Amino acid sequence: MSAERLGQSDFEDLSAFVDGELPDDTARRVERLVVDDPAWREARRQLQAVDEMLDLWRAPAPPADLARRISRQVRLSGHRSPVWVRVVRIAAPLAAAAAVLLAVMLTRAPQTSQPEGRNVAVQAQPLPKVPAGDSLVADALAADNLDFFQDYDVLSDYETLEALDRLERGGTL
Amino acid sequence: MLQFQRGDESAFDKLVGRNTGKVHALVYRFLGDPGMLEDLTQEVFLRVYRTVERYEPAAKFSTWLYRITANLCFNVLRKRRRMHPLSLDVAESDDGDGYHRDVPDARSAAPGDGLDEREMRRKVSDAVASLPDNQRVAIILNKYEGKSYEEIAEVLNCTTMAVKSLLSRARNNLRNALVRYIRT
Repeated sequence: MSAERLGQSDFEDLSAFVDGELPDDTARRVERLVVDDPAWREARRQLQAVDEMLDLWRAPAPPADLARRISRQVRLSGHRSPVWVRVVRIAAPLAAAAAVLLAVMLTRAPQTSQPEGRNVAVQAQPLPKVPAGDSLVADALAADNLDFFQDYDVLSDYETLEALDRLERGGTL
Repeated sequence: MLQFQRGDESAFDKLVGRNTGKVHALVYRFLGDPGMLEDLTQEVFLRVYRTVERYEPAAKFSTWLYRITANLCFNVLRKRRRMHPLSLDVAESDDGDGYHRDVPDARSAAPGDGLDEREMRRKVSDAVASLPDNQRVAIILNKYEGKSYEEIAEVLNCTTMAVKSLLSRARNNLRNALVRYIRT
């Protein structure tokens, strides 16, 4: 009698029966079927055989010193900084960037503000050049924080590049 | 684990000492790749170390550990499949003709005959490796770790009924793959 005759639901019950995971009444039904029905008996035998084959597959034992090596390595690479250090690490660059931005905006504000009531054509005219000295504070700040900008990839900001360029041309850098 | 969670670093050493063998075996059976075995075992404990704050004592530590291990292995398998999309979808057939023999083959030797234990082990590991991921995890946890359906359900984040179905399908697939080696 073919073990394949069992439907999916029957096979599920048989598999759970082998694992001892069936409720009592279902387990009794399956037990009876395994005794009385050749297809169930054959399926049970095959499951048993597969289970015995799985016993052959043994995992290799880990090297004796693996646990010690893992402990040491995990401590080295997995150490977490205290919360306040992590907060400072994130907040400090942001605060510095904000300060730079604020300084740049404040020094540039008079250049870009326009009196009310001017028409669009007037507003679209090029702004007069401001002497380099007016933005010297912001430029110096950018230069002083060059490492910071490089670390945090802010150097691509056009204003910063422009500031550095001005300082270089003026011989400050 | 609770001691370690409270800041006792020496408890971590004990935890690693007690569970390294278990994780090592699990990773080996999930991935069957001795080359990555130690690195991945270490990665499991690194994740434990880094996520200790998220551990809730309501869950058994072993369940949490198995879940971390299973997720890590799933990620590795996903990456492998992205890199080699065909190699894992089509398992090698024994005879190299592209057909999987689900029924006894008259051309082949009698079940088990001529196969030494090492060869048989390879057949078994190949059969397990060819199972879909969640069936493989389910059968490994059930067979080799002796986990109940409830515990497996927690690891796989599914119901016990789903585990029952997974294990049944895994066994059916294994039976089909190994039936030619079963003695009549």
